[in-house]
Amino acid sequence: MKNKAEEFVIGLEIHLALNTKSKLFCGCSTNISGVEPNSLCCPTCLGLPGSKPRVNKRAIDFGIMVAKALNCEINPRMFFSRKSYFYPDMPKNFQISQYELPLAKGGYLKISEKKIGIRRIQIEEDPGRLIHVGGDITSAEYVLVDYNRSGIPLLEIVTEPDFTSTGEVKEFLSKLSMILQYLGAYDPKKEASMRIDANISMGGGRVEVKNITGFKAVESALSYEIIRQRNIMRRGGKVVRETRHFDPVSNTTRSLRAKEMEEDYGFILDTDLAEVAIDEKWIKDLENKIPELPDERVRRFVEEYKISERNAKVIVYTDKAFADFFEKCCEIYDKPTQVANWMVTDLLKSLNYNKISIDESEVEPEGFVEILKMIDEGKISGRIGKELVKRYVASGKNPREIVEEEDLTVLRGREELEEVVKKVLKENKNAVEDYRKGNKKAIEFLIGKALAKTGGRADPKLLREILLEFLK
Amino acid sequence: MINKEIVRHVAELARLKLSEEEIEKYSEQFEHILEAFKILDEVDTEDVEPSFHPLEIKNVFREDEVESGLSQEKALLNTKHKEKGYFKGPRIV
Repeated sequence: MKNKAEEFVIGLEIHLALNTKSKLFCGCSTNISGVEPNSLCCPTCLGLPGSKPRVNKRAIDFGIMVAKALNCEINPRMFFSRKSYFYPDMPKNFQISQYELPLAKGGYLKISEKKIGIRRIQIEEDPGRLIHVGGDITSAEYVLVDYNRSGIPLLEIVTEPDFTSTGEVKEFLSKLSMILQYLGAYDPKKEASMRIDANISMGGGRVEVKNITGFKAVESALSYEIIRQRNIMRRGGKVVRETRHFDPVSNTTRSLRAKEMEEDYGFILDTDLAEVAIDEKWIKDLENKIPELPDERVRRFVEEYKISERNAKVIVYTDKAFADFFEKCCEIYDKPTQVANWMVTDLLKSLNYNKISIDESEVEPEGFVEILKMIDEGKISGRIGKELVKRYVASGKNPREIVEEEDLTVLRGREELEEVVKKVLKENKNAVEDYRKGNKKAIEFLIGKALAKTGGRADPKLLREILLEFLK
Repeated sequence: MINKEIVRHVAELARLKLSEEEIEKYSEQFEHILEAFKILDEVDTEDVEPSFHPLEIKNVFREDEVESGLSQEKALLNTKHKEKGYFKGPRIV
């Protein structure tokens, strides 16, 4: 049972790797996955003395676009600041971030009828990647450092503590990730491209959980932390204010030694970097480049294709490629409702089963539409259609070819079906009796049996016709 | 007022190990330094725009283009603390 004292609020700090080609302050490539450690570095991102940062304009552009999409107010003058701390992930002993005058503030993002406030958005450099050797973060003998990641531009988005359930957090993050993908500012496939710190406040205590990477981990981390805090309160204890570290292997959080308070970071403006003045024209030019965003796309799908809002939402919020797939199908096949229904049920189910996204699969709009067309033509039954979707997703083999090769076309020979029906009636005397006693639903059972006997190839309408005749 | 506690805290943030005599000495010196800077408080800045940067330059950017950097070997050249292409460092917490 949940009582009032156990109510909680959650606020997030989300770090997203911006999808630039080069790093924030130097020309090193951001394409770091699968390369040798410390092979994409230069004096600047290694923090060598005398090196100077040079701002990547595209990172600022992306920041402005995201800030606009999240209804934020953009500061006309922004500056970079140095955040001093002594971890080996930042070799110059400070991280270039923002503090006094960040990129933007005061926005919101709407999720199911609720607005989540955005407190601020800032641009900063990613630290290097640490590998803890001989233990975990608190017990390792030493750390190995890879500075390939150091200097990749991050957008830090800080929300108000407006979340009251983990479901809301999930919805918010998926929507945010989707918007950034539409803006081209973010690629979720890049490793560790979304990292989250969460603040959970219950009964007055505020706990910050760090090191949460990606969507799924958020849910585990928050669920664990909420239960942990609730248990403390039920035992009559008090939740202490502290920072905890999420361990994705055990799905638990653990206390970290008290870290520095904000004033201990000794923020100072970075005099190596000039002011960034953002005027109306710059913002307008970028606004013109903002493409149709997910919510608008849902609305357009409902209006233009007359599909249900529910289907439109599922299609758009599955991922961008999935929504593009829908539109491509509609270009070559004039029945959007059919396309939508098949996509949100059978296609999505098969993709999920195979744990792939539409663009990772070999499914093409042409092949998918072929299945629907074959059903329209009466060439195959709906049941075979479902089977074909499964096999198309799993193998990538053209559905029409499968049908030709394996002879899956609808059985139309009335005599052949009559034979099947006769057998079914003989084998299911109970159902026949039920039907005759007035249980008309029994016929569905018999149709099912007959369909199964034909391997799903019979036309159910024809089967019903024959059955009705025989049962008279 | 500067006391030993503040000096200890600042030393810890800067990862400096100070002896008791040094803490004593710096407490006094900190006090003098702050005293000296107090002169700035006497300047009337009522109608003066805040200054964030010594130079009045703005919007100095680089285009988003990849440039070549250092090889792994060169990146690790100046350290003896290395292993399998990584830098070695102390545990962080």
